[in-house]
Amino acid sequence: MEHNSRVFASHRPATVRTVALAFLVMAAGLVAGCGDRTSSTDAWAEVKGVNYKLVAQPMIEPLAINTIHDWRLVLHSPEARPVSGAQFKVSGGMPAHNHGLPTAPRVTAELQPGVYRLEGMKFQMGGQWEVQFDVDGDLGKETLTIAFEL
Amino acid sequence: MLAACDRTEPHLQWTQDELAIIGTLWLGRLPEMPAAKGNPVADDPRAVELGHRLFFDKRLSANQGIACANCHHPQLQFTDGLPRAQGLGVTPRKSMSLVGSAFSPWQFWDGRRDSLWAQALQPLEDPREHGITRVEAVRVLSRDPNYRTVYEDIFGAFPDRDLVESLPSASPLGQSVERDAWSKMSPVEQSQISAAFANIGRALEAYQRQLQYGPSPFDEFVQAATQDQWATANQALGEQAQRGLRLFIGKANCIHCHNGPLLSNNEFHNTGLEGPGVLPKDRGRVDAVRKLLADEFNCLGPYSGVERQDCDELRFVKTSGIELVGAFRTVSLRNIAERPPYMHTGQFSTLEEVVEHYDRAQPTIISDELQPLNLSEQEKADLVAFLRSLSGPLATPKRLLSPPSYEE
Repeated sequence: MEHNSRVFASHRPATVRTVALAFLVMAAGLVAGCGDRTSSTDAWAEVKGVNYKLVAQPMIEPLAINTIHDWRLVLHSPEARPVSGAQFKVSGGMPAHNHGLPTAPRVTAELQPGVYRLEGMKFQMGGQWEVQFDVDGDLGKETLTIAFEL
Repeated sequence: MLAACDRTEPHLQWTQDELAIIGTLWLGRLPEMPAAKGNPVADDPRAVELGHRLFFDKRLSANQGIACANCHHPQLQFTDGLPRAQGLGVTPRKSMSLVGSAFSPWQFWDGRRDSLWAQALQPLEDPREHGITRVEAVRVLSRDPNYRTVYEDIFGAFPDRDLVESLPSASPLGQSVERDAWSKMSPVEQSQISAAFANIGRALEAYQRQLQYGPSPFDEFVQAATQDQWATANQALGEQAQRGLRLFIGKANCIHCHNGPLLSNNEFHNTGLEGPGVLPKDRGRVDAVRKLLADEFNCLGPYSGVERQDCDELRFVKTSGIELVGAFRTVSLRNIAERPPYMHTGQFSTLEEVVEHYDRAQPTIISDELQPLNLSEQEKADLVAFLRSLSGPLATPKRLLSPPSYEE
């Protein structure tokens, strides 16, 4: 099932919630004839925190509900230097429905410096979603959040 | 050339956004059936035939009286019309319909099995259902020359007949005496019997993959409405059902979980059936996930033959979280009017009661996922009218809907 999507992003250091910085990279949703909806996920979401900049990219196109899939995460320093060896804890859910993700996704590999494979992503319904990335790396701990509508 | 022009007005004024959402529920948008992980013969017609026979074979039970079809009756949408399934005993939950189940990554109400072939095995060994031991199940095939021949044609060599005859009635999941007997078998014997047993499941899966939903009046409506053919659309779906559809995708929020062409996300939700202040006795998904991970027939188990990287649902299964407690799988709403009672223990006899339940959306200790809908009596009736429009004939060859003819 395909959905159009809108992306928002925010960051917060490990313990302090800061003002959300929304940066919509691209989320093209268009309604075609006969009820078809399509969307693009190219360079899908980017969030800039104090310590890190994270680009999150679903590896299915278009992003669909009820389909388990991978994401790529690209982690940089504020100066755009790739950050290797970072640890991630990935969580999320639908704030309006008080439930989390239906799966327990994990970062399973660093494919090249600063580029990570996130496996096990899945969304079981349309609506407003948030995904939190608790990043622990050379530049400290920070929580980066993206929010989007499926 | 001028095309015929349908000037009929729709019963309701639908927006393009609404029609787009409704289009996601159309059966015509159903994707290809997912590959059957761990079952290379799932779409082999020989396996379908074997599975068809096994599905109706009452010899696969301790009293020679229980077949899969007892609780999954073709005339009852492959369920049994009872609040709780009755095999040799009464089970804790309602028999789930098998139609369309090939599209779900999880089987049973709690998802304790992750394939249709693994699902098909558990009732055989459950003392409340077929109550047959693993060795006895394999022995049924071993003693039937036709079964043996067909099995070997599909799967290769059957376990040695003398070995099968020499083994006690044993099962790792049965009564204590049967489990005891199983533990005394050698690992090689256990493995041979379990592998043949798994193949029984594979044949049953091949049959169950044939059980699919056909188009309903709702699908006719979608097809016509998205082409602006409102005379046809209105005939397929009356005004009341159209009002119910608008509620389904809007105010009533049904589409959140009942999404996609099968109107199910096949995930797990606690919908507050226990009521305020009551902890569910049946903890559903949260307990099942442990069984799933320990299951020797799961995607990562020794009998599946599936590469680790192809078992993502199991590798990344959610094992904790309050929302798993008392959570049960969302059922497809296709043909829902044809298979009462409803919910995992048949708590409700009618669709009206189901709608009433979601309208009330009473909070639970565990879940506040649902919010009261505050529907009027008229709106509740509209919603039920829409649910009734989701019934259609099964898209399954007729001969598979009755017991096989052994004379064939």
